[in-house]
Amino acid sequence: MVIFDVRRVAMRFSGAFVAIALLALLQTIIVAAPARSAEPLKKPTEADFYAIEQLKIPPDAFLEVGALEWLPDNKIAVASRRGEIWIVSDPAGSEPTWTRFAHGLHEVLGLAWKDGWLYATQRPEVSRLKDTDGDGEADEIETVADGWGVSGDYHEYAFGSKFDAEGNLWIVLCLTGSFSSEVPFRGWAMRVTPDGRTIPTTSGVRSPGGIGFDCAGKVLYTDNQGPWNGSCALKELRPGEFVGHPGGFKWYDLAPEMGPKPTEPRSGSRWAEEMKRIPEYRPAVVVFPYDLVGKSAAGVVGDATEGKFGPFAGQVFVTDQSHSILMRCSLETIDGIMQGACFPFREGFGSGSLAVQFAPDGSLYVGGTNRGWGSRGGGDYALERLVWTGKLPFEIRAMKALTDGFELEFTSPVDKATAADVKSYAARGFTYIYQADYGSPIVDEAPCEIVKATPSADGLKVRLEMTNLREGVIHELKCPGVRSASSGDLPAGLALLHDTGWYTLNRRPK
Amino acid sequence: MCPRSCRSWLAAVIVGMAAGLAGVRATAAPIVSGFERFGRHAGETIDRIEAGLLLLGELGCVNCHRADAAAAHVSGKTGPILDRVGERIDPAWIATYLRDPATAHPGTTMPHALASLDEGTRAQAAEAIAHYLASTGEFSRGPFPGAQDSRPRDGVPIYDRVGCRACHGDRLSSGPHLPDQRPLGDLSAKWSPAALDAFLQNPLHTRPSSRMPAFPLDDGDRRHLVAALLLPESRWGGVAEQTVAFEAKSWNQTFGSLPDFAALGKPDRTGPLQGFDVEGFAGRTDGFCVQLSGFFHAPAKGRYRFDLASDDGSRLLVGGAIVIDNDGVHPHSWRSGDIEIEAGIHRIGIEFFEASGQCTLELDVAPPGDSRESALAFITPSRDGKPARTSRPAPPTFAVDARLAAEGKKAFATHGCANCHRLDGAEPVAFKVPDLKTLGARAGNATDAGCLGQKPAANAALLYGLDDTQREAIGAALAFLASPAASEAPTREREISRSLTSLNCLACHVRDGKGGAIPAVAILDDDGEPILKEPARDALFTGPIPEMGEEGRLPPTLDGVGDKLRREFLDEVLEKGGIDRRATMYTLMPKWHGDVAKPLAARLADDPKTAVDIPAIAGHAEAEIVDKGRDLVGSKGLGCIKCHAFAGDRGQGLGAIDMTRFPKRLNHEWYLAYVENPQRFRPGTRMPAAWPEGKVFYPDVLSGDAGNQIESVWRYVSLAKPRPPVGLGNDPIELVATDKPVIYRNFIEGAGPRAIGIGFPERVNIAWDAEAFRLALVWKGSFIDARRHWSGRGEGFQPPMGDAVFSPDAGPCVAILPSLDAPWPTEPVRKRGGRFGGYALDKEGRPTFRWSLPAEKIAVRESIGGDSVGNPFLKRAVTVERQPNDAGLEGLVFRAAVADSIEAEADGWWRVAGFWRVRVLGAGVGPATVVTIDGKKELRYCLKTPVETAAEARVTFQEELSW
Repeated sequence: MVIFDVRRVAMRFSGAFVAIALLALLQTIIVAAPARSAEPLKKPTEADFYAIEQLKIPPDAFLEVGALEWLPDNKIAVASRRGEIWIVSDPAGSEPTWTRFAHGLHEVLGLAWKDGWLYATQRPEVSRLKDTDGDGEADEIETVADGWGVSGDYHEYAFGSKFDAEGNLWIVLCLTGSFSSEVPFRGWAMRVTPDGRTIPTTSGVRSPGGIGFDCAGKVLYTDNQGPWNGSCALKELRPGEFVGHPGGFKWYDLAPEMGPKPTEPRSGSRWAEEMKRIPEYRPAVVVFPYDLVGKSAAGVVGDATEGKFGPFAGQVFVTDQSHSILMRCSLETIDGIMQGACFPFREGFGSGSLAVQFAPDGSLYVGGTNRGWGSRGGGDYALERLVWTGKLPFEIRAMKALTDGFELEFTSPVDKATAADVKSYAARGFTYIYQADYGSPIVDEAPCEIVKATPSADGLKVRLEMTNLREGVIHELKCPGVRSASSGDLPAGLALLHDTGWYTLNRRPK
Repeated sequence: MCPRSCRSWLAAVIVGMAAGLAGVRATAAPIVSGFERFGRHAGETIDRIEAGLLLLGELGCVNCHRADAAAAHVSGKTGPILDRVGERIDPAWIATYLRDPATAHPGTTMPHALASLDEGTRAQAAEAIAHYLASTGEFSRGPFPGAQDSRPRDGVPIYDRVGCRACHGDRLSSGPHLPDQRPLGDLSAKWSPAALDAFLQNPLHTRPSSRMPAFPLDDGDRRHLVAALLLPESRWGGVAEQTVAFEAKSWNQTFGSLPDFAALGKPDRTGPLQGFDVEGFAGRTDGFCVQLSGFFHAPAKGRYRFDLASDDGSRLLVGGAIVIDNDGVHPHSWRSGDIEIEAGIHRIGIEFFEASGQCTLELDVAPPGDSRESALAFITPSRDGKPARTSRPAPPTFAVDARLAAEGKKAFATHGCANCHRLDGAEPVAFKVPDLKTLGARAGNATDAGCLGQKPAANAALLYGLDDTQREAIGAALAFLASPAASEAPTREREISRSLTSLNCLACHVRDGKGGAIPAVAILDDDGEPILKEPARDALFTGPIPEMGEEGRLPPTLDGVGDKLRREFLDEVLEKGGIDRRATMYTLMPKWHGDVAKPLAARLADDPKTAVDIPAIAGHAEAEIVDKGRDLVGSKGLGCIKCHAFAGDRGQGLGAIDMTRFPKRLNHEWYLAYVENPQRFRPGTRMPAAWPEGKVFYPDVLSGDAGNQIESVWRYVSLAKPRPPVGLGNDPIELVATDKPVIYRNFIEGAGPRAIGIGFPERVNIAWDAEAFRLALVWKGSFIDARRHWSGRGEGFQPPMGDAVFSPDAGPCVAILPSLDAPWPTEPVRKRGGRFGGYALDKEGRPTFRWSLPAEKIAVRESIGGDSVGNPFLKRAVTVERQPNDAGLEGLVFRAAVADSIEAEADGWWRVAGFWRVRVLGAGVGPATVVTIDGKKELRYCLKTPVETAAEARVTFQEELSW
């Protein structure tokens, strides 16, 4: 129980005298009640639920982590921007062993394991590596795919995925200088098929920070604030489509399977408007409002741990390089279009969080670098393990769109009195300009009025009816007044660990 | 939500005006920028009065009409100082200008002083005054210092970027102009290059009123600008680029250096060449060479300087002599050369080759004493052609007639020219005219009479050529000056607004919702929504780092500038110009004369101040505080230097404002408040909140207090010589092979963006080009410095660190040829379907590169390793396979070298290009043959087939390199 929260309840009454009297009364009750725990009362923090464990990196590895992959035999492969791949055996144990598996590669930003080969996405190509003589170091570095141009511009990054269900690797190619497309397929997503073909798959990429899958196998990547991207976002990649930045349109000539070039988007428009004009255009699944939650979206991973990582099984986690944080997304599909909400999840990583990978034990490995782009975590690099402590955080588990509002799902039952009070919530909508200029201010901002809040019988859900739901708008929902009901280890009266979510509404359910 | 398409913003403006806003400026009316932008459409009385007061000041009314009581409301702008004007301005232009100022220089604010004279008398007076002014100094049309280094093409971006364009619109009077942008007029008729160059060095010297401020340009940039302003477009710009100046021949062959064109045989194409579009002419982007021939028309005898740029190699010949040699595979690079020639027609030729990648070719010429321009304008494809550029007209001579000059001196006095223009020996005239207050008090307030009238009046000395809107505004202002309200002193904010408008600071800056790109009159888009930024104005502001967003291009807001900037710095930046944003923004802050800068700085300095307690940081020693500040600034702390420069070092940063300048620029309290929450002061800034809502990421530093930490950074950067923060200095990161080779895959100069560098323990090194499948570079000594790519963002190509660098392999080292002496295939290997297969490493870590040409059923492995036998020594074992074996290895040739010289030595060695040696050993290798192709020698070997089955044919041999 938290004194702080008691005070807040008390201050709702108008007279100070009443408040003080009530406070005294409540304190008496607390003192009188049998103590739930002998520990001193304190406000829960993220660290109570998810612990960050630093891996000790050997001094000879300057490990600006660009990619991670879990290998058989309790090993993890860690690739660095300086072109090394290290294999760590028993990384969570007390004496992990580190072996340099390869070096001299070109900015590795993707690792995937298959059939005894480690596939590495380097800037100019996808290679597969193998140690054939068993000395611990790769001696075969075989080029699998290199069907895209490299002009010598540092911004032409290539991020590679794991294998999809068909055995394809997905590669997202940053634009030249993150602004234009000077050589083929900059600003595109490509698929590398098991038979070695490289297929131009989706246009409209700007400056990716990572690529991964949700638990249903949908391909998701992050793109960053800049031209045609008012803020950073999580986007879905589907063959034949266009995801926002027209800079790479000229390569449609080289990609006959993509069909004709889409209509050019209009600068200064809104994405909801352009969706109507451009059939190939697929809007972002989740927009991360700039600086409100992150400002450099990066690695993407689906939580397929079935609960080993806590109460968010099936959701998607995204790192943010600049804020050194991990963000959480609850997604849904309406009318064939993915959309959903993002929430802050865990801050305080040691460098600019980039690569993410779940281990079989349900812990999440996060690798970081802040070379060239500063981060709140001050280390040049970091490799950390995020472990669920087993305690249940009081969180908004999911936020789902309804015709007239949103349904919130909680990790633990809510206190129905506070959850039914519309004053426990505040909401507003805003969006970003879809434009050729760099980024965008927040525009079209308008408040949403919470008309009604209805908790479910079990207290795990609240149905919020609200005004002014708009398509193409990010709906920010704050729930500062919602309190927990007592359940399991969770005491009553707790505020949410993170009380804000941002839902990107592409489609309003009919 | 509506799309805010801006396509028709201009139409919207026009519609907006037609819909009942005030009228459009008469073409001959003076352009006072602040009036055109903010006053012309003023609806409210107060704005119209302000607009009129602005005109009274900007048109110099108070220089004849005493202001007295009105002085607090009307600025005292004067005209240019005319001391020694004869040296600067062409007297012929002065005469033309005086006859009809608004025609000679549309938009001029100088009134027509001779308007009331009849035409003949007027022309005579204009001529006389021109002679008088010419007598103050000798005008010279000669070139200015550094003419040959000035390049109009380089001057245009300077004009467009630094801020000239914000006030003057397009450089050419015929180009686009916003209504408030005053065209430059015909500068080449008015100025000599030397005079314009001198003027631009410090316009404030002759124009202390600072309506034309001084831009802090370096000499080179200023001279490029002068060249751009004075040379007519047709002589160097767009037109000339399309000129057909040369006859061309092209050959579709790949070379690593310029071939002997005489030996090339029949060209693949011949014909006229448009501009320098050699790619278009050859019809390919890689693997060709071109020979251009034409006739250079030298306008005068003398030394001509040529500048030749190309990617890859080129050579310039004039009259058969090589003037510039720019040979070799290289990025776009300039070389100069000069030659003394007679006036008349000379043969000119360019030889050029393109191996692969980027392709460029340009030739400039600077005739004797003249500025540099595209040589296309002087060249024709045949001897009897007419070049675009004819000889420069002879400098006009102007002989001062003493009698006319004396007459002009009188006219200068009579017409009151000296009332506005200071000139030694000329005295102002006290015209018998009412003061402004009296004028305002006059019944009816007739503003269409006298100098404000529509036509010359007998009772007026001058005629301003105003339009009705301007007259109405002046009327409103005069009425105001006669009213009791005029006796009240203007507020500080109003005085600031007046200064920013008259000095046109608002062309670039915003204050109080006015200026910058913000429309002064609402503009609506297609959907009737207001447009927030006028695209034509917004486009004026650009920067070198697009990632900086608007902060990297838009001049900073002046809202609260006196809160932000220290008083001393306000003075400094106004009087000396600004340099702090140079790395991140093209627009430059110019400097202003102290007479206008000081009062403005004083008023701005009175902006309300942010009040913050300066943390004392109790309990921590000063040494600890600055050390912690240093930690926070460095790359292991908050990484401020990832964006900010530090003590002149851009380090890892983008070059955002130098942190050591903070204490000189910023008010301490403002800094503390800004850093705590940058968004509060600058919504949308890319400056992150490093202490979001007071949260501290380094709880162990200075008691974990955000205020202490922010203050510690201030104290650190305030040190006279702060120790550089961690991560600023970039020490070399030399990669050294100890027991095994070290690999470095990155952008390597000379080996392309897909280069694979390998340093061998024997201190020999290679870079293999995985784009073109070739051993691109070999060198000895140190391998490579990884600093460029491993610190910061890693821009650019890194050259080898060691020495004795050479390129043994111009393309794939094996090919199937019809005969041993046939030309080597020139088509880029990836276009031929070539596939790079990666590499394997042997026990010692030595690489075997694999590549194949599936169409030709060739698969090649190249195993490379160093060896230590005295000299630097390298071995390459090459295996070539044919799978399936349908034609054996018939026609397979290995090329070991391409160079100007290849000489046989003992033991099968060949000496190449005079300094490296090669030999090839193996059972399947035929005798060495030197063939000459395109003027270059090539060392070739036929390959035979020691292993041959139905499934495959295979040969392995070894190449040894020593140097």
